[in-house]
Amino acid sequence: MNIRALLPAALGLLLTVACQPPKPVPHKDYTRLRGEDPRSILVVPAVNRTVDVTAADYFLSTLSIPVAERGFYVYPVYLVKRLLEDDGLSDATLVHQADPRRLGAIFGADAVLYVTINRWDAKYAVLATSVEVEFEYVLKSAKTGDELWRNHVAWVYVPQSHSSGNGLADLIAMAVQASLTKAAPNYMPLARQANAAAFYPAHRGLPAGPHQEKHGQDQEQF
Amino acid sequence: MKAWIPLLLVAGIACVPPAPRGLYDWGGYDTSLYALMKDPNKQEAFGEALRKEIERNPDGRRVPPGVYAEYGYILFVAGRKDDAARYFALEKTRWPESARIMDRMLANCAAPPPAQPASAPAAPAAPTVPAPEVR
Repeated sequence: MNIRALLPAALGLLLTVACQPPKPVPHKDYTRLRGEDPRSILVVPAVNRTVDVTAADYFLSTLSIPVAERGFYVYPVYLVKRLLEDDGLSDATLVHQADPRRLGAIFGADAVLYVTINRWDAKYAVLATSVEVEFEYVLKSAKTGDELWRNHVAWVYVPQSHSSGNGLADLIAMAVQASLTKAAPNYMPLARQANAAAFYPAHRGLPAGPHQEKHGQDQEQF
Repeated sequence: MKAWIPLLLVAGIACVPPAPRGLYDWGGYDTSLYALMKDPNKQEAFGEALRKEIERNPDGRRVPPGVYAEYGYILFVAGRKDDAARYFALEKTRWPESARIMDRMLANCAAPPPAQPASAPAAPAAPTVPAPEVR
């Protein structure tokens, strides 16, 4: 049999296998989020439950891009952080405990995004560095204080010496490994990947906001 | 066998989460902010990255939300209140969602600087924004 005849089937199989999610994730209920249809999101400093004291500040710098590219107005995170500090809210835990309606009223925001870093562990070893990350993303209404959306990302990166058979997984592993030298770890690639997994996937991420052309037309995905 | 190499690449690309059409030109926004978070003295470099982003997009269509305001804030902190006010006003015009906080920043630019007590402040100076009450 000609090998070319098998290519489409092989490609199909490969796509199916390669794209298989690790486990089925139930679709989210978007009723409340659709009902409020927020235009603007206030991203407040992340709460850090890890031993890495700087993780939260670093993580904050990666949040504006994915949320804005989903089509929402995102308040300037550095300005927001500094204004909150001026008001004695330099502790992110206090910010997260504050009433979202009050925070929203100060900035004029429709919704507030709270991120908690539950785990951010790099285990350095001679041959390979493994990284465990776990983030919780919660969007609350600044009008009612109700939760509008929530997502959870938990990953373990174990860069391998040989290929796992999944091209993308290998590429990510290589990028993460390359960025996590012990002397000067760069957490950006890992944080960007986590944010992409939180905000973009259909049925779990954020539906298109008002600055995206798909706004209001993506009910099949979300 | 070589035929499998492009196939693997295709499979890899197909599985990348659907990257949204890039709405904005982010330039070095996140990397320079990351650098600033690591080292609070990098405020000037952050401002410089923002200024370049703004200059690259004179019509403003691809300037991301918050960038005019962040640049305005860097100018504000440097004491350039008039310049800061221009960028706060630009943010407000480009993004009406920012109107409330930009109005406050504009008011701060117009106000004379609060008197700084020489010693440890007995009474705190007027905050730039009303302090949110923490429940």
